[in-house]
Amino acid sequence: MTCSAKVDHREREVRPIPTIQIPLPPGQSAPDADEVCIALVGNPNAGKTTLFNALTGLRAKTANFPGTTIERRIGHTRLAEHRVRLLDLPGLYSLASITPEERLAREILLGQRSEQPQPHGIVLLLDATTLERNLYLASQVLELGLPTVAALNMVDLAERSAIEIDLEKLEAELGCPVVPVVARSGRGLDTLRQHLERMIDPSGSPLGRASTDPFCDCSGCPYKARYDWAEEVGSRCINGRTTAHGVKTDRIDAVLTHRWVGVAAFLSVMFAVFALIFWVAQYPMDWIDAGFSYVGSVVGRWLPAGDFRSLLVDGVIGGVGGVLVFLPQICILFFFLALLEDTGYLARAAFVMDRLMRRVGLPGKAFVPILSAHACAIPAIMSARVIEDRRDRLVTILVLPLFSCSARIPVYTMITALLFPYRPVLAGLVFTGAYTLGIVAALVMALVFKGSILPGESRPLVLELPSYKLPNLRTALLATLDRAKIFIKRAGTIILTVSILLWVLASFPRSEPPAAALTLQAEAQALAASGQTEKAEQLTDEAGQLAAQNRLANSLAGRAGRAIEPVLRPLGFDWQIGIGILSSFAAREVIVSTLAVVYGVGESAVEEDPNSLYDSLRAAVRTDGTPVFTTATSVSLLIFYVLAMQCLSTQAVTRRETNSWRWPAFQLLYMTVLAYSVTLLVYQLVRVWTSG
Amino acid sequence: MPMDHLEISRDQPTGRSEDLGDRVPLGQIEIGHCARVTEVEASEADIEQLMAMGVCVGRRIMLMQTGDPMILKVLGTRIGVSARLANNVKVQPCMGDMFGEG
Repeated sequence: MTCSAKVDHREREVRPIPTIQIPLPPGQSAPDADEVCIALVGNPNAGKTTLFNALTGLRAKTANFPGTTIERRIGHTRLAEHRVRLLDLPGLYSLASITPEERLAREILLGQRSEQPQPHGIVLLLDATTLERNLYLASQVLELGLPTVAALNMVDLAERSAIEIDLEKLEAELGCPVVPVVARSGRGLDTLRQHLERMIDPSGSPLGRASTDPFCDCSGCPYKARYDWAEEVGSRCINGRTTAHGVKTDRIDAVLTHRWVGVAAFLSVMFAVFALIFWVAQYPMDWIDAGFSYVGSVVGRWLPAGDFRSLLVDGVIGGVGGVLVFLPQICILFFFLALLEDTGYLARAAFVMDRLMRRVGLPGKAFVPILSAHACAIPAIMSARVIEDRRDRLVTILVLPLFSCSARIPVYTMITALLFPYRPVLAGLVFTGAYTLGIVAALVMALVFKGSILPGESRPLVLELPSYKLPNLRTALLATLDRAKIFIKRAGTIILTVSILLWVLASFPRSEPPAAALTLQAEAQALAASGQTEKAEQLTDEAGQLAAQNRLANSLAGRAGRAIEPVLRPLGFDWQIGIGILSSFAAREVIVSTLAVVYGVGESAVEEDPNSLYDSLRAAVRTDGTPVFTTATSVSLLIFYVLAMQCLSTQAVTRRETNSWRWPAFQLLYMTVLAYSVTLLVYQLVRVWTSG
Repeated sequence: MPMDHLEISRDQPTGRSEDLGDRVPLGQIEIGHCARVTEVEASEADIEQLMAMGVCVGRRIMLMQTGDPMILKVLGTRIGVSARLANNVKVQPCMGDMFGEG
């Protein structure tokens, strides 16, 4: 393979064009006047992300293209004294405006988008192992006439497959420099940078632009002409094989895409990933939890008692910590998904799942968000972007919060302890039942939506199954970092707001401690004075619990709980549970600590020994002396927590991913109606059954 | 895969091959056999995506796995395609395999 070819472009019928002109052409504005913008264009699976990371490092920023949910990655680097903005366009097979991504890429490359000035140059990424296919997009990109450097990626794999590409001929055919690279190992990147510098620097030698003849789109098949050209170019430039045989991939695929073995393999892989998530994540989760408790206690010691301390410790630190504790799970999930995607397995998983998912009207690709939803609905909704079709994506987003996320685990744990104390097998069955209920409800609702508000069959599958590769750790880590940042930023802001809001609701208006608490306090002081400090502390604690209970009962949240009690009564809930349900909007597991306060256990006692909470909840009685947590009420609460939409962070993400408040509102509405009706039915049935 | 050539000649005598003509839906060719696309009915918007990936008139494709979805190989890449879409593609079985000169 010839690596440094000098091609005389003048021989071709190329209009030699000058290099990138700086400053910008009139009528365009850039964020930074002497910044040069280079777009990275290439097929999906051609190694675009790896090349982008290799060129920009850790400085990349991920956001959405304004007004879309298409991801935009921008990184910076320096080339020939210029600050260069590298724009990673979505992976494309063509520029033919079929998919929203293609339309967007086309508009950007033509300079038709107001927020994104036309790029000054293009890095065209070509996969050496499937060059002919890649040349199709190349022909369209070269026609744009922008200064272009082609990076021929994966030349190592091509060499191993005995594909010999004549670089000189290819450069002549394309009319632009072709640099062989291996993005994974960094081979050839220096040469690529040199070519880019020459493209940017006015003193460099001029570069040719597209030499492809314009393709006539008036014939029957507009694709034929371009592919005929691609095949011709291929036959002129490629010696030996034109494409990789991929015998290994074929052999692995025979197993992994098998009708039944494939599904079994998929389930095993996913089970392993989830086992790892829950097993590995518990350690960092404990650290984060401990960290926030520590910060809370330090701040609590430094600040004088009062509203401000309570706001900071209980509202801000407690609230944000309660949600950030899920960050490890989210990171591990995205790390493994990135690894699986990089190996090429994720495409196979979508392929085998397509047959099954189609029965509920969803495409195979919906399985990634569905699996993620079992960790947390927020990243799941974010990852629903892999689904191209808008209706398919909307249906998926709408049902995602029905899958049991890990914030429900503490609630499930509490309820199983109430139902079956110290009986692990039955408790396990309750857990399984809760998860199954979530899955069934979600799939049924998906079918319902597909048959009503978002009708239509799911988009037929067209999916490239790339050759298997060893995954790249760096790419996976960078992808994980990206997701973590988005989660912290997106969830962080809304969670902070919600935490403060809920703290206000639970703290105001103020109420005086009840008489009983004051009596206890006085007794404690008397004991302390007589030297019985241990007894005194115990009484002070009890007084504090009574005061907290009273404060919450008289607060806005407590009043709201009472106000909604008539509505909740048919489900077997009293106003205390009502407060718990309302407070769950910050994060579902908050109900556990809320119930601890309303039933007067004290939060610190719960942390030391959760069984103390379960025991006192079991012992809790209504004013008429009947127990609060009967079997019927416990079952009812469990089902309510499986089905109800109780997470404002999820709602905020739904809003963001659907670009409208209509969908989160609808999500809240349908899930509330669903949760209420199913819970009502089950409570009344169980009550009749257990009493009769 | 030199065997493909032989199998085509053995399993599909000239007469039968002509009977099938160039109107065989993609899903009906045999696994591992090569065929040339002769027609793509552009009845659905999604077919455009398939065409952009190389399943368009004149290209050689190979069926890797039957079923719904099925797996094709075109221009060196494997593509998973739902049968509904694939039925819009008509092919003519051809000699040789994907990688040779055939």
